[in-house]
Amino acid sequence: MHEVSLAEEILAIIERSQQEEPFTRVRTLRITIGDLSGVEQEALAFALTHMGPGTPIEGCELLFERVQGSGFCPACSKRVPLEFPQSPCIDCGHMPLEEILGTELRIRDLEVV
Amino acid sequence: MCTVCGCSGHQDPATPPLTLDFGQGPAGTHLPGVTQTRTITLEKNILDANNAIARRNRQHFVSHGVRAINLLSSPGSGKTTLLCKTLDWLKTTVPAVGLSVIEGDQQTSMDAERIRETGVSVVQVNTGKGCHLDAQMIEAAFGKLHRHPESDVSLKPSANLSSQTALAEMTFRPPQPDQLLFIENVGNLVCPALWDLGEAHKVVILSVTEGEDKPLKYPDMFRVADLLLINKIDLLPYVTFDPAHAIEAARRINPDLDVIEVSATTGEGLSAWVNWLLSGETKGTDPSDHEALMRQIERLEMELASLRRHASTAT
Repeated sequence: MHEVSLAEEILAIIERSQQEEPFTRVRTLRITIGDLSGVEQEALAFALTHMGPGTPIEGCELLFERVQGSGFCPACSKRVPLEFPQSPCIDCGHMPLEEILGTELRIRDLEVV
Repeated sequence: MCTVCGCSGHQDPATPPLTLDFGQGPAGTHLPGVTQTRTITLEKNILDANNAIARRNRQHFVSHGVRAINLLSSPGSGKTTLLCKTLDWLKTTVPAVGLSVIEGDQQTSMDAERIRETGVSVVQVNTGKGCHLDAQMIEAAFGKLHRHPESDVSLKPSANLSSQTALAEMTFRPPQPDQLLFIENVGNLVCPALWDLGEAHKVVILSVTEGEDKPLKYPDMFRVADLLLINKIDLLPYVTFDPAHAIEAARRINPDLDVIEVSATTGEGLSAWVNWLLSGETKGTDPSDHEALMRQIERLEMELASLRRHASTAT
């Protein structure tokens, strides 16, 4: 599962941050997951928890913020919710939609000690 | 220093081993820190590191006239057999085009050995527990494959450089690459779609022994691909697979997707596939055409500068 690879990337980002502003460990880690990012929150949480021991994120609290998927429908001239990036407009069926939002996967911040 | 892309030092591509093993976990580091709790704001996209390396790879490939092709599919689609057949075909029909391969698998170098038998340079990357290749692996593997020229031996100057005609011909010729780099990704229709390697094109391979509905079940992969190769068409009389259904499903996900039907066994469709590889033709949206144009301009400017240097030092 690529959530493991993503968890490794997250850890690498945190370790680089630790080199710039030294800290002992992470108390809370806040991550934004877009509904259209293709990332499974439970799998990511599992990966982060299980790779934690021996790293700065051992035992840290994980806070996930969700962003809903949406796209602009040119036929309806309005933004509509999206379940997948290639879903059609739920009102008129037009596809593909434009200006897709909700694909992000971002570390917001860390509470450190 | 490499006179084409400016990087310092070069690795001898002939030095074994040509296998890179990334099957090791991350190392933790600990530094003494403050005892007070504080918040560090990052606002960092998690794939930024990979995408930055991918951009560097892309730039590097352009500098050296390398067209990198990322081959993606489920395990068992016939990728490696098709690749071996393609390499044989290319060596025969366009011997001037350099060929190299980066081979990705979790374990073993068996696929790299099959490629090596065709006489083409290949580096095997073992991902260990990883399910996809990433940009850093490609950067390391390309470093083992590529010799940076100390002089511009790869360029062939026209007979009369100062003539306007020669310059005009150079400017408007079609973008045939100096080299084709094939990246055979780990067999996986899910994860590799997310990981930019710096390639010019993603090619997804679907064989007729798989389901027609795969594009709908794995939409991310078919959405990011430029070309769909339908492989093993020699087996069509024995399976219920209808290429028209698979193509319709794929085009619902990605209306701009090119499609070529091939058989690695009989060779049917290979010439169309090779033409696609050499011409770099792809029906893209405006941004990707613009990007291709910018790459072409950049490459031609570098070639022109290099040819001028060559002309000024010629006796």
